[in-house]
Amino acid sequence: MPVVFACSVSHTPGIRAWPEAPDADIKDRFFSEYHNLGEELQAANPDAILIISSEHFANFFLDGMPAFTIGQGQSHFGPIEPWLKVEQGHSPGNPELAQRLIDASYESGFEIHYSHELKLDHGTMVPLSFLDPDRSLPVVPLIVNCMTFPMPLPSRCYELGRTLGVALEQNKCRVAIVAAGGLSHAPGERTHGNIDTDFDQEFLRRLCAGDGKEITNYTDDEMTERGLGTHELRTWIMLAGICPERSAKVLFYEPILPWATGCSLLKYS
Amino acid sequence: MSLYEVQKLVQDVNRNPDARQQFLEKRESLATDYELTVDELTAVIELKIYDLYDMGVHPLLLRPFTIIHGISEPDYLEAIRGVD
Repeated sequence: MPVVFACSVSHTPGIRAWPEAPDADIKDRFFSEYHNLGEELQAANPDAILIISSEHFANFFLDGMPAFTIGQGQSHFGPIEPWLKVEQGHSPGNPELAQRLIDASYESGFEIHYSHELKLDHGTMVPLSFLDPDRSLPVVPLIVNCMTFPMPLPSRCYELGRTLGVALEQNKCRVAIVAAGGLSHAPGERTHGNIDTDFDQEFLRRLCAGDGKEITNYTDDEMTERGLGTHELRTWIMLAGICPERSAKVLFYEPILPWATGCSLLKYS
Repeated sequence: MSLYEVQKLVQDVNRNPDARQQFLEKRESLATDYELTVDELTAVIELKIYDLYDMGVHPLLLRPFTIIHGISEPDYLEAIRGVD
């Protein structure tokens, strides 16, 4: 059982940069659930964390924007944002696991990008600050272009997830998987602060229903209408593809206006 | 139009400490290194946030760029929304 833990989480930077902005009750519930997820991840005793997150111009620019990138470095520096209020430093990598996932992707027709020098931003460091605060576990980042068009189709994200899921199940390395991003938000846009609760709840319902078809038929227009940040649902969709047989349970959902994001935590059985 | 060049300048300021320092000290000296139209050069040098947003600079580039210049979130949102 090499996939020993799997969860999907929001990673909006305000969670760490301005934690006191929301009502204390909501923030405390969110932090408590996030910390509980961290304890469960650690109790699963993984050898490594595969974290699927989104690009925010941290590693790539418009001179070259890969759809999917796996980090195969010996270590990963982050966060790159000094204002995030997460201590900067290095997480160990796991080049062997990364190479296995890259090879499996190529063997299945996904010519995935790879890098020895991926840096970590809030998209990975906010989740890791809760789930592995000591930064002791090796990390393999998988970065998805969720911000500039064209982006990979949700169905491709799901299918890549299927490929990775099969490879992980055949690997002896015990892996915890974290998908990070979303839900609806419009960072830096004129609609900044808009959160579509109905859309978010429907997405969570589809995930929990376990119907891969239903969660992969979102269009770019549907996500763009809810804000560019909503495209980060691709990371959650990829994780659903990694573990389609597992049931998903929503641990938390609130539209948190001071963080301008529909914030959620979801765990797989 | 050379939106790519505008965004390249913004990304360089956001991510490259030397470019950032140069821009903060004298905006023109860095901006003229990029192939910008007169309107783009003006928008960059005069920090016309509404114009930069309107020409299509990506929000995930523009917001960090404005943070570097000490612009608060409410002021940024007012600027991109064209609120006087």
